[in-house]
Amino acid sequence: MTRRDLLQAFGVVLRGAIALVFPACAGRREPAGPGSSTHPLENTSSTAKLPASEMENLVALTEVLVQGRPLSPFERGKLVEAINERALSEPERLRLYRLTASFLDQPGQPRFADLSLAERTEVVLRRRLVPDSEREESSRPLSPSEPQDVVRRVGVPELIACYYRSPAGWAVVGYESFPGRCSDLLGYTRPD
Amino acid sequence: MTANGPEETEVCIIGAGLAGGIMAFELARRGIRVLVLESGPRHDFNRRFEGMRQFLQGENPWRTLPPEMDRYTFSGSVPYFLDYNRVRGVGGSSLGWEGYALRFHANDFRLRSLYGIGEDWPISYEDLEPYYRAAESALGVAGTSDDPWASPRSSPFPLPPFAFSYSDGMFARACARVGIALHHLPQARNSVAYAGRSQCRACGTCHVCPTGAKASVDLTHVPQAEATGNARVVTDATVLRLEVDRSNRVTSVVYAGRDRRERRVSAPLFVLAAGGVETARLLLLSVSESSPTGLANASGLVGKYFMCHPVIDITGRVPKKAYPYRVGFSTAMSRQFAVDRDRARQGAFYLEFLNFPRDGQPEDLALASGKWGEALRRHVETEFGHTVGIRVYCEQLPDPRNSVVLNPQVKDYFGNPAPHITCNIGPHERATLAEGATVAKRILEAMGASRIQSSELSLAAHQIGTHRMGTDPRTSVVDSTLRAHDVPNLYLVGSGCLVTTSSSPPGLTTAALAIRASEHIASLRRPAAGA
Repeated sequence: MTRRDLLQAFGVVLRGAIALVFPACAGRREPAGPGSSTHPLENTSSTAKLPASEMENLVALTEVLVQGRPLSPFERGKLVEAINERALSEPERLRLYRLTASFLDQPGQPRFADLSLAERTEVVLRRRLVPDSEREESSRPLSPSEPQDVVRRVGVPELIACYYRSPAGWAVVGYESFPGRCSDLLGYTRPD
Repeated sequence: MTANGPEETEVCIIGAGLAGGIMAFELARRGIRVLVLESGPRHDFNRRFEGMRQFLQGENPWRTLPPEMDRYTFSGSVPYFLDYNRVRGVGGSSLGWEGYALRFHANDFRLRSLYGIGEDWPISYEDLEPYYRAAESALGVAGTSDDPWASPRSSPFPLPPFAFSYSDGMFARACARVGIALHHLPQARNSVAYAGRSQCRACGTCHVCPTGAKASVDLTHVPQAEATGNARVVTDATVLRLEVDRSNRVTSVVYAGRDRRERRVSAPLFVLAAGGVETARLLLLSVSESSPTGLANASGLVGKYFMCHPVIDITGRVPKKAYPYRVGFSTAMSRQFAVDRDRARQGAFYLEFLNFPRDGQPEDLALASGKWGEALRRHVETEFGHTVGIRVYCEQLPDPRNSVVLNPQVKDYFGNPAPHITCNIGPHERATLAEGATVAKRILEAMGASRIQSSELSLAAHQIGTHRMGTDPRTSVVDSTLRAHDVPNLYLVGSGCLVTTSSSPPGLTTAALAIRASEHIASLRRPAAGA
């Protein structure tokens, strides 16, 4: 399998999952017929940007997921950059992000982003949003109509991927040079 | 353009990719008037950084046309993703190739004679050597003569080799322990500034090279062809069919842009250079009274013998960090198993020592772990850098059941049947890959690797054999000059004319053959001195 295959495979898997959740976004768009069910976020404009409050929720969730501590300004900046870039490149992703961000807030409760790290961690655990490596679950079909299932199995991996493929994620492993950053040609010959 | 008639030119080339771009330059520099029809756009070099970002997001940065233009179907034991494996536009697939520029070995041209398998080529390595040299010079190939299995060269590589990577050193020590020779991997990529293009800056996204250090004909040939004043490139010009007269000579090609309005170009000579799938498809679409089964298809072999290169990756976890992912291409390989063996019993493969192994990037490690929070960060920190990989790249033998045909059930943007690709990987190739996997595993074990595993079989992005060359018109489509046996003014260039695949990528051989065909066409135009 070539590198191109790998990237394609990841894109296909993720897009497949997102398309399952947002079927009207996949492939050719057909007008919805009378009585057809529409996803609550279906009418989101494809050119809309993620509102700041929703971005704050996503960052707050990602902090819990990828580090278990508050992100530094550098990390936060790179994460926001990565989320925005991906949201802009595909309307399906924007819809996924919006669903994830809105799912985190609960009626009568403080905004997710306003909670302390410990409180957010408690919410994540209570609502079973963290990755689950149990094999039987990965073979269970995704339920597009269950937001919790979508957030846990598509939204959460998407945010983890966003962080770890960004310069912040590469910094975790000590890399200043990584795919997408042109640099010193001989850097790859050295153990540093 | 004439008043109401077709545009006229001396040579009409269909496709501005590796072969078409090279031929445009080679003919134009000899004073021949050339018109190139390219179905895709002229990709803006200044937008390559944007393409790089798209690539990193897992998107196809070269896809710029309506999807209806790229419809295709496939069957067989391994899927062939045509839409991702070719690029429309000036530069063609050279825009997205990996840039590995290996010569075939002399034995690769004589499989039937030496081993009783496949076919012999109508030309030898010695015939092609001067053109290999010219192609290496034109594309700027970096390398050195440390490959013990390379056939003789008449000149050194034009550019010095890329240094071995840190992990190459680890591989080299392990290879030495198990008796395998590791050597440099030649590539059409600037190890130093060359021909007005910059030195590689290790951006890690070679599928989209943002600096132009990787050779692609939109940089190395097409502008130079246009600068002669003899070549013109028309983009957004998809050829729909070729038209012939009663003597079965091509008189014109019919093309259309996105407006679907048909236009014509007439010329005394045509070159079809649209890639192994599209060239075959265009020939099959061009039916006439004299060619009821398609143009140049008296043999019935147009579209047959489709081949690429079956590939598997063997990965493992080594105890010491290997520092991968800091350059987008591989710098070391071994052709120890590609040449000197009884290839009827043991197929040819080469080993590529990966600087970019699968499944080892921070994102891959994070997603596969099932962990989160502090435990996830610790896991990524600890595990990163220990994944190494070896790619096994295998020769595929010609099989007429592997093919490109028209699928009348699926129509493209212009209403023409889409291509249908059938690719089955036979027992010979599977046995070869299994042997390659065993060898790779031995090397990884010598490195102290654990968790050794093999990827699924996949196919490299090559399109070989669909209009193969040969001396016998009953068993081949073009002759050794790449002229169609049954259409005297039509040349079919590109990787589709290769008779067998070797285990090496086809790019440099395709380029060398295009230069050779250009020389032949130019010789037809001018009488020899003193004649």
